[in-house]
Amino acid sequence: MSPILSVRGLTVCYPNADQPAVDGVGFDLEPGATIAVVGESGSGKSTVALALSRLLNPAVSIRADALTFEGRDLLGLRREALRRLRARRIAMIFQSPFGSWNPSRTIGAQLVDGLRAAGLWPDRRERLLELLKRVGIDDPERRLGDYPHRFSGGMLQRAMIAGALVTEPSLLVADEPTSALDATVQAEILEILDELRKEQNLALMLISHDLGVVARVAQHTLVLYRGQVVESGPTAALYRHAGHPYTQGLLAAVPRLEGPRKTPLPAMPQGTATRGGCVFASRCPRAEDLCRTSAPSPRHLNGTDVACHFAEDVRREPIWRW
Amino acid sequence: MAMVTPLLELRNLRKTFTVGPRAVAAVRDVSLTIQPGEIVGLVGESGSGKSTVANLVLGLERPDAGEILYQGRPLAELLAGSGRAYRSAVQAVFQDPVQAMDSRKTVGWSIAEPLVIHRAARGAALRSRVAELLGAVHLDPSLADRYPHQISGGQAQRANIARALALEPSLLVCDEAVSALDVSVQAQIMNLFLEIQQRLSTAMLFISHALPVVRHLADSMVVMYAGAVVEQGPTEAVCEAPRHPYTRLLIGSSLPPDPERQPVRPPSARREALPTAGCRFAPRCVLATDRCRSDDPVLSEVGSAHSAACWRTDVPALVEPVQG
Repeated sequence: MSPILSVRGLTVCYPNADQPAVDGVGFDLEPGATIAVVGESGSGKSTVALALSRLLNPAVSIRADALTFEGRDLLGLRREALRRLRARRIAMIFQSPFGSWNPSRTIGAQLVDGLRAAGLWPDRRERLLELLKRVGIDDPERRLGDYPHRFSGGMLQRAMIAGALVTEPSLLVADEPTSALDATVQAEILEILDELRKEQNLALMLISHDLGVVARVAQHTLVLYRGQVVESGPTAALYRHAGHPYTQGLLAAVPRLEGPRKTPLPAMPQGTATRGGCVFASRCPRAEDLCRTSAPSPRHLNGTDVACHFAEDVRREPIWRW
Repeated sequence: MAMVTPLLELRNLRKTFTVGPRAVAAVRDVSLTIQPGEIVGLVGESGSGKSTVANLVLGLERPDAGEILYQGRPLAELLAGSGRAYRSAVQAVFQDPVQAMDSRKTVGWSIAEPLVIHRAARGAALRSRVAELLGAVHLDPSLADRYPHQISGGQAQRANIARALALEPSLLVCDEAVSALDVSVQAQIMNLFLEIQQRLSTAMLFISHALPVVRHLADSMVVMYAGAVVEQGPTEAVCEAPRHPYTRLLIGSSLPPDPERQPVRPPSARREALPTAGCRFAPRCVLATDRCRSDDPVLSEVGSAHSAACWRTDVPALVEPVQG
């Protein structure tokens, strides 16, 4: 099967920044598959999402050896073609439920806008109502007349998902879709999203800082640090055999319900950006001179691709345990 | 058994806010006790009333009914004068570390401010106390001259904690104090709170929506739903043998960072309007009976120092409240 989305060497620079926000990111996404980009603030994960749908300001430079979606070069698309693509084929949902809706127009009017832009109004009216029920909005015909402030955050995200999926896109880019929601609501919304994804053979790209959400949702995971993919692979392998010190550090830092209590969590030290060598070198207890002078390329190592000179040692003798 | 005077005692607190024509009972009947040096975790979802409890404890809101006792003395009495003694003994750490600081003042100034207001130090003594406080939260003393926007979120939260510790409080009220931080920074700040408890015997009311965070830090836990305490007890008991269906739901909704240990299927979280009678959780509870819909359950003992407000605590935990 050929990938629906193919990315090679994606590099994004904001104006006046001395380092790229995204630096040489590459991955393939198969139709109907799920991939997660996980990272902390400033890792560049949201910039990857915005670059894919070309939603960045024109002053931001986007370069890539390849950036193809359904066989088309995303970087070569003109404005109108891009608009059509975003209306029908690539859907996006963002973190802030309230920030994603216009407060002065009804939910229904805004969902109809989306369908109109896709040329699917009123053909998909029934489908929209059906999807709204599926995501958990009872009596949708009545609720469509409501303004966003009448909805809870969870209800707005549910409506957002219905609106994103009604055009039957082939790719959904979800940037922290449940991070602002209560745990019980988050768990349910992720479940609904996964059911609909399977039904519609939708490919999902999830951007998240939450290792629990990623573990639940994604088949494949990329770990991003300072714009670079430091480790990637099937989610199960990556969580079980993390081979990059940073991946280990993230996994060890999360408090777990079945873990020890009232003891210090293994915490990575803070560090500064390093030039020329490994991006993680200043925070890494295992770093040697080689790490500070030469940037490691990703190597396939029994399950995951790891960008670390000492990945074999690090996997055998983890730096941070959990 | 020798009775120790609790550091803080909340007795049947009530607080109702009026929003337009509606009265919203943010806190319906909350009682809890914090012993000296103890970390009490308070969990619940948005709208559960947990931040209102924080504001009542901090004296930022006054309860409509019930009382707060600090070292056995009513809070109303302690706040009647200047309230300075209480306000220096009970300090707060909030969610957004940068917002919590004055953007026009240096970090050192922000940490010194409580010492100046309470006339605790001046001149060279003040400067050395600020440096000492920065050291206590593992920040370099040179950070005193920086402004909040020049430091990272983790450094800013450490500075807020240094400021909170300046007057050697006996209680820290931490309202989502690690929720806005990246996981690697969150771990460091959680470690700092444990260190403060051990080294300074500071008690904490640690409020968070994140159950694993509270479980890690707290000695005992209080679970709130719709303004009331639904379960409370020692942390192990509440997390390992939860008796209220809402506590079980919270545990079942927590997604562990492990693809091989995901909960089978999280239950539905659809919100219906809160009932005005009976158990407020009944519409979301698969165990609910007619009695639950008519009578409001009261907290009753289910184990040693462990209580739950539920009519169905006899149902074993094996029957998980999972729908679908």
